[in-house]
Amino acid sequence: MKDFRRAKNIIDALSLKGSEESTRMLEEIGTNSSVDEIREHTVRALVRQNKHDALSVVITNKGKGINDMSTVVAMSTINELLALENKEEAIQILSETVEQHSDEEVRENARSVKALMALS
Amino acid sequence: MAIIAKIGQILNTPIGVSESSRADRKRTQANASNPFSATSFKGNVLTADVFETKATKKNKLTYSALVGSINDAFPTFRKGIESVVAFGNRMKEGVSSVCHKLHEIGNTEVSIDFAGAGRAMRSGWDSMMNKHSVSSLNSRYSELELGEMLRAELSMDVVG
Repeated sequence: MKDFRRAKNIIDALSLKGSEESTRMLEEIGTNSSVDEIREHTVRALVRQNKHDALSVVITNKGKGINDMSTVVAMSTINELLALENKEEAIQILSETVEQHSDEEVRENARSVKALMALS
Repeated sequence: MAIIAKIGQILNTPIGVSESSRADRKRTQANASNPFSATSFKGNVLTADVFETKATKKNKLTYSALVGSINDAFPTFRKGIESVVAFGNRMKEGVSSVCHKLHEIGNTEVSIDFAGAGRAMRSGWDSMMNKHSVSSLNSRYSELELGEMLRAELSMDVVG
């Protein structure tokens, strides 16, 4: 099994920056990686930022975050969202996604996660 | 006549007195002839008047004090050993009862996993090194540089 420690450290370093540029980098490179482990690490780093742009990436994009084809990545994103101390921003984005998103599947996923977050 | 007079003298002498005086004399001779009895522990009670010469007086007192201190110290020492043994036994009983309880609860074999402990230590070390690496990367490189590094790292993996 390939060791992605250095790649993960770079992702964490980018996440620590917390800037729009770093979020863009993580979205562009991390969430589009072919490796599940890297995508999982990236979405977790994005959720931990708890910022509008970063949360939007993992909630509203088809094939990323909670909508990822990999169950492991999707479940990790949901777990990280549930572990957030302040869930206000995430719930707001989920509500907007449920009401306004064009894709039915994305809306359904957002609805399920929103229900989970309301219960937690 | 002389024999009869001697027998009469012996009969007049009290028997108890003559035996005790004889024993005293023997003991005195034994002590006087064996100056090293000071260091003997065969039931002899050491007293300061065993030796009478001036040269050995200091040694006698020293021996007496030494023997006394040894006699005093031994019970304490023995008590110490006994308490250590008792502590060991208590610990053994405690450990065995804990193992017994665990066995009862889990109904599984109880063992100490040194390999697991080693892995945990390594994991902790790796985690610390990763944190150090992340903070170092964060402070030394810009977003753009980090992005390029990540891209290179992942493309290397695709090629590999």
